[in-house]
Amino acid sequence: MKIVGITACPAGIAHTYMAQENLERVCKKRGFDVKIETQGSLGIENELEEDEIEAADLVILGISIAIEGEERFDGKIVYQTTADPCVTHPESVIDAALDYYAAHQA
Amino acid sequence: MIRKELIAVNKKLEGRFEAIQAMVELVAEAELISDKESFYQAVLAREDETVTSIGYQVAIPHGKSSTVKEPFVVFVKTALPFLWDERNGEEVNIIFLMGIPEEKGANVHLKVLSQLSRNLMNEDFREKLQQCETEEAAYQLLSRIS
Repeated sequence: MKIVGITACPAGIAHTYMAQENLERVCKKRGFDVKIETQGSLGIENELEEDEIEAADLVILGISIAIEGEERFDGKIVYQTTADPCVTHPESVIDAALDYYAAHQA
Repeated sequence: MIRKELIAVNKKLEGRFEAIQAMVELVAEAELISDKESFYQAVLAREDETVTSIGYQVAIPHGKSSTVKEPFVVFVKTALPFLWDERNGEEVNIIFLMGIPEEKGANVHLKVLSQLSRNLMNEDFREKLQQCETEEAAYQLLSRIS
């Protein structure tokens, strides 16, 4: 399973990075390939490459504000939630994202 | 950017607003904000949006405001855990108050704050924070973040 995603929050200093850390940790623990881009006060970091998005099975957006470049995921399976649950309940977020993936894959 | 004068351990605080106010005082004394009241209001506005406790007895109130001269973080460990926010009922004894300016931009201070946020998701790091019994110990631990 290859997962890419983006995290972003209003102040762009705390939840963005906590959410990234948690999503990456939980995915790695489950043996998934993962890369999470952050759009915070430091601008865009860990930016997703086109081929990484292309190769991804699933996109997870943990975003509490509008993000840049959402159109990059057109045609992908995109599970969207807010940054907060990625911080407090990352396991449940990944579970829900996988359920979403199972329900939407062709 | 970690400053000793912005660290307090075993502080007697028992409420969210009391705690935030006390921490804003420290920031004002360190002259890192140009207007105490408007920064406090920025933090409260963020509090209105969402609960800022993140589990593990940790809360991270924060404010983005043009009154912030440079990014900062205040660290307080209270003498006893207390109810942070009735909206989720979590108790906290570790509080980080972060302040960032309105303007975006890559900056070494912001880098430290983002790394601190990531570290808070790490159990080892949280345990080390809980073990800090003095301001000096907290300073040493937080200064290692980069």
